[in-house]
Amino acid sequence: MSSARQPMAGRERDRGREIAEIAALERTWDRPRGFWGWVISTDHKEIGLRFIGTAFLFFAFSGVLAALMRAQLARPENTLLGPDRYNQFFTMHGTGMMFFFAVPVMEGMALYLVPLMIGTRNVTFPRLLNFSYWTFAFAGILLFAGLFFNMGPDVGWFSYVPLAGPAFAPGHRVDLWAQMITLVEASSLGGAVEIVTTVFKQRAPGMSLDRIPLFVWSQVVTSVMILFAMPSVQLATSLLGFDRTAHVTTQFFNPAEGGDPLLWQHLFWFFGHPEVYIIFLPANGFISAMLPAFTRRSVFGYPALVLSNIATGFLGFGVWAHHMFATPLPELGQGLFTAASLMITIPTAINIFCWLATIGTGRVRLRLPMLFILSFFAVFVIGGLTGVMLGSVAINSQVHDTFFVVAHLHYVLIGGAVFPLLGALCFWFPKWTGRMPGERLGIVSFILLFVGFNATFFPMHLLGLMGMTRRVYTYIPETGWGPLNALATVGAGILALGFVLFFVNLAWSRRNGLAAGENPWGSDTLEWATLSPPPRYNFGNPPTVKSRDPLWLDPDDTPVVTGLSTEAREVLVTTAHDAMPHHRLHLAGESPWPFVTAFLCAGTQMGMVFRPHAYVIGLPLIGVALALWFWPSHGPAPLVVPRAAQRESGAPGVTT
Amino acid sequence: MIRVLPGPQSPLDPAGIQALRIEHVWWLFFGITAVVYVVVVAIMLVAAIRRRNAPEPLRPEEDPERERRLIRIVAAALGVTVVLLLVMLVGDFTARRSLRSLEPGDPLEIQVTGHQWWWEFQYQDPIPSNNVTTATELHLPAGRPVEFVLRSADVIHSFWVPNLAGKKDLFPGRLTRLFVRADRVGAYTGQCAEFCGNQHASMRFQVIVDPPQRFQQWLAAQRAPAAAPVTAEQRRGQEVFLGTTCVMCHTVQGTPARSHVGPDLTHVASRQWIASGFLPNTRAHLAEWVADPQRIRPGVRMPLHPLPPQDLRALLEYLESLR
Amino acid sequence: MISKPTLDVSNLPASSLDGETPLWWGNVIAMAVETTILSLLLMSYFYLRKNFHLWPPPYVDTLHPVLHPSPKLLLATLNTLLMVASCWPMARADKLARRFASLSPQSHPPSERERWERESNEARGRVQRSLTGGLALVAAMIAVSLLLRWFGFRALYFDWNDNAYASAAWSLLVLHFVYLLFSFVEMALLAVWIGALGLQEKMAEDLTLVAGFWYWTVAAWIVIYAVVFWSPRLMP
Repeated sequence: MSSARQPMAGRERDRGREIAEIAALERTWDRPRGFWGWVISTDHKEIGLRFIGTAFLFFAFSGVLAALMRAQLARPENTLLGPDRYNQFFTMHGTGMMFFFAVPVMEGMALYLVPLMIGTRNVTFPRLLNFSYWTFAFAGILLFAGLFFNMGPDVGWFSYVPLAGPAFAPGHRVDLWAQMITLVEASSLGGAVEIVTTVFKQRAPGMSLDRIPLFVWSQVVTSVMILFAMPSVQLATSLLGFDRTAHVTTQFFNPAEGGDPLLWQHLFWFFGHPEVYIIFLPANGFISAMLPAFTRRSVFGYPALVLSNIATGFLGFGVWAHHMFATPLPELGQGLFTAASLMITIPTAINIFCWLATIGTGRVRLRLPMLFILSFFAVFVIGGLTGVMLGSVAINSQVHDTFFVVAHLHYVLIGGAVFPLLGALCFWFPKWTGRMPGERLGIVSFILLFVGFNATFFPMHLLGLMGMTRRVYTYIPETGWGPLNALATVGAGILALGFVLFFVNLAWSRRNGLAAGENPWGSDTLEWATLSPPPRYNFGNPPTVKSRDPLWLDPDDTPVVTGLSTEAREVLVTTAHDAMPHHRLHLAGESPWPFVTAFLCAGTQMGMVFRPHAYVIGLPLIGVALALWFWPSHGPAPLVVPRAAQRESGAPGVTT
Repeated sequence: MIRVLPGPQSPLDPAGIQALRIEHVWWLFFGITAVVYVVVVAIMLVAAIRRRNAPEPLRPEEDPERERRLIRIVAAALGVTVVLLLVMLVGDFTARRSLRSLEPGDPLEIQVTGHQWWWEFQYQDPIPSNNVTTATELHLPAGRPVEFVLRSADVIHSFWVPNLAGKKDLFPGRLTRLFVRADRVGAYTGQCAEFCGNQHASMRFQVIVDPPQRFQQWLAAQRAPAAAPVTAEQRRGQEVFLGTTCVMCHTVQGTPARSHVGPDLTHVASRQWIASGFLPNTRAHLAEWVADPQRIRPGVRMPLHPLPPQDLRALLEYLESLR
Repeated sequence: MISKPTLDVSNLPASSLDGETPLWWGNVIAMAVETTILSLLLMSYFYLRKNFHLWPPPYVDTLHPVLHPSPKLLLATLNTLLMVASCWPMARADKLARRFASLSPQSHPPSERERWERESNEARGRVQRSLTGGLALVAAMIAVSLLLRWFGFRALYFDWNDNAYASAAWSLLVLHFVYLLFSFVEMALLAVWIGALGLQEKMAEDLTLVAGFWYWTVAAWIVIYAVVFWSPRLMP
């Protein structure tokens, strides 16, 4: 910026070198053209957006299922959907929203934003990134396709045995569910590995642990939670698959042979409750990332927020049994889980107080994303407080498995995750597209969403307290549940309209929005320090940082990184704690094999739904594909005859 | 006392001591959380509107004094939160303690078996032949403690009568127990609360709390074998019952029908509801149900078995005589 | 961007063998995930144990019923010894790989590189040969271990679908069998690659990671061995 004192000729020369460097970077980081190039892309921004887009497709699909369920429940003894179809719909609604929307969309946001926020060029394992996307896409497409072949799973997203076991759920519906869940969790694990390694190893020099943006912190905690939670559900679905598969027929969950249905519930909820925080923490990060732009101050209480995120991560694993209070659990266990369930309120309370303090002492600008943040407080806090009620064994024994819980979880997940997510979409929309989201239509859609949401889900609290149990496809008029259900259905219509308008607005703004520039909201983190949309290599010269709010507080003479190769895809690896430069890392380029491996994994698992021996063909093929994936990519560089020239020719090696 | 959301299936309209205790905890939690919510949203609104669109400095001003004040305020709020959580924790523990202390020495024991998708109740008696088996309709004596012994015949179900107590799961391979003391005479509704398959929605039952004397009369009546058919039409109906597929699943005490796949029909006409609490027990409904159960509750285990009209009429006549 | 002061990183090495490499982190994370899966399966094993009066349950589908059919020890014990023994050649290969990296041209100033290259040429050749040999030895030992394990499944008396005990014990053994298979393929491929293509910096890094995963696999086996073969004996 302050180049005024340089001699004129020097500036000309520098300018020329800069243009040459940029051209080289463009060449080096560009992916192959055409459809195939699109398939094998390893660009974190492209894959991140693809995760988000695909997840929203599944969201729309699951949303339509929800709308149909609301239509069925609008009046007593409605016959729009029979029980068989209704049960498939609510199972796929829950499965779709939890496994195929909420987790992937948050990972997509992380994959897009985290490398930019920490000032690096791509994630650590670009091919794993590609693999993660395709396993997710294949699993989702195959599972949703099941609905059209009358193979939609129908035993709930929690698939309790023995109802989901071989004796009570014959056919392939649950097999399909179990296999595809195993597959999609492999995708989540891949994404989590990316986030953790990228954040710990590729931060901009100077971004020590206490300068990591809060959003990145919450994504790190989320990813670590994924690493420990997802194996649990993968193990559970695998064991269920073994129990159900002909010729295997293990007895893990069969009480007649010493198996235990309660074991399933432990394994499932050991994943299932952390799952809620895996969805909530990234949203928490959105709020912390957006608030500075709309309150014109950095978020109050950085250390408290980081620590409470970490505490949530730990405590999240200690509360699973409050989903099981009605089962034969030991008394003492129940007491401990009640205490833990109330304790986990504390870190969330710290978050909320810190954000309120930020808003209270800032200069608030009520732009579209800020409205979503404010609605978070109005909505999520209700969900959090009803969550406290559910932690009580006594109250839980009454409202568990009723519409009260349906209301609670939607207040938590929509209020706590979807509203911040919609705000975040508007907030980072200019970064993705270079254009601002339309404000007026955006506000209309916001109002519809807010009103529609509350009209849909608030009555459900009351329905639960009137005794309406969950997962019922119909009810008789004598129950008196009719009017509130009708109200909820009307609300669902408004909510759906709000979602449609929201996305119409974004689609419209993509073409017609105002040009955004690098940093339209005047925000403080590094993703705003590059072009909108960012080039494939993210930063011409990767930045270094000297504070938590680099764009606000760092002096103009903060250095930038030079000396990374422009001819090879190189990133700077820094130390885990202090982010001191450590070595240069050569990243892997595009390869067809991650995609092929994902395809073979999906094919094998799909085959196993119908033919238990499919793995005999599938596993060797997957092995071959993996070997090709990791095949040393460059020609031999035998060290017996080391020549200087070979060293210069770029770091060869096994790639990941 | 004013009741919010009263009704025959409401946890907030307790008719028994257990539900009453839980209701107290509920209102404690509700009161605290409602106040917290109002305070948080009020602060949020004031904070958001107060300095709305104020002129902004390019960079946030540093005001260490204000930040220190904020730390004190947030710490205080946190302290209040912890205290409130402790109050709620103690409230919950106390309630559970008192619920446990209500488990007495000599209750009336009723075995509850959950089937896909109906409820079976067996009143235990020291003399086994005096045991009474019924379905879909549960009678309880007011003021006397009852111990339910819960078991499942197939998948997990959950026994829930909101007006009397919290729910308890019926678990395959395990016995679970639930203690209840109904205090208020009246009719309440129970429903399966754990998703158990196709017809989970209609797995309901009726709970009738009687004064002790009337309860004893009811129990004695249930102990008797089924009424013998009187009219010719009823006799013809019994022949239909024993001569068709009915007999393969149902029991009518005092006849050769002794199968336990479906509900015991010995006194079916005395019940107020049929079809697992989904239809009021009128002749029209009974006809509808017997003629085509799959139309009313698709997927239910009772198959469709067409009967000629005169047979159906005779069968209904017989079933209606089973008082 | 040139107008800003710069932090020139062109002098930094292009690879590293310590705990600061992303691959090392990836490897640690993979092991953490596998440890989680294994721990959950072990917990399931003990959870199911509560449902049995006798663990393992009596084996009665035979002319000569066995009241306490604790898994037979012979093959599993041999296998344990073999796997522990394999750690030695593995550790040696690991050390050689590190030595190779320390001989890297980049650890010398450019002026001395040419002389150094001539001198170390032979040393690096020796390193490569003994490293390939060591890897091949480990791969061969794993192959024997796989055979022992294959025949060792019979030690359990039961089939996997006889009861919940058998399912839990079998699944622990099968899970570890898969790890073994994976390690075997990994080592064999790496030996072939190094033998055919010559040792490269990146392969040396991979080798240290493969070694780490192998130690983990051996440790996992010792735990599984203790639980499946000894815990029914010691805690009947």
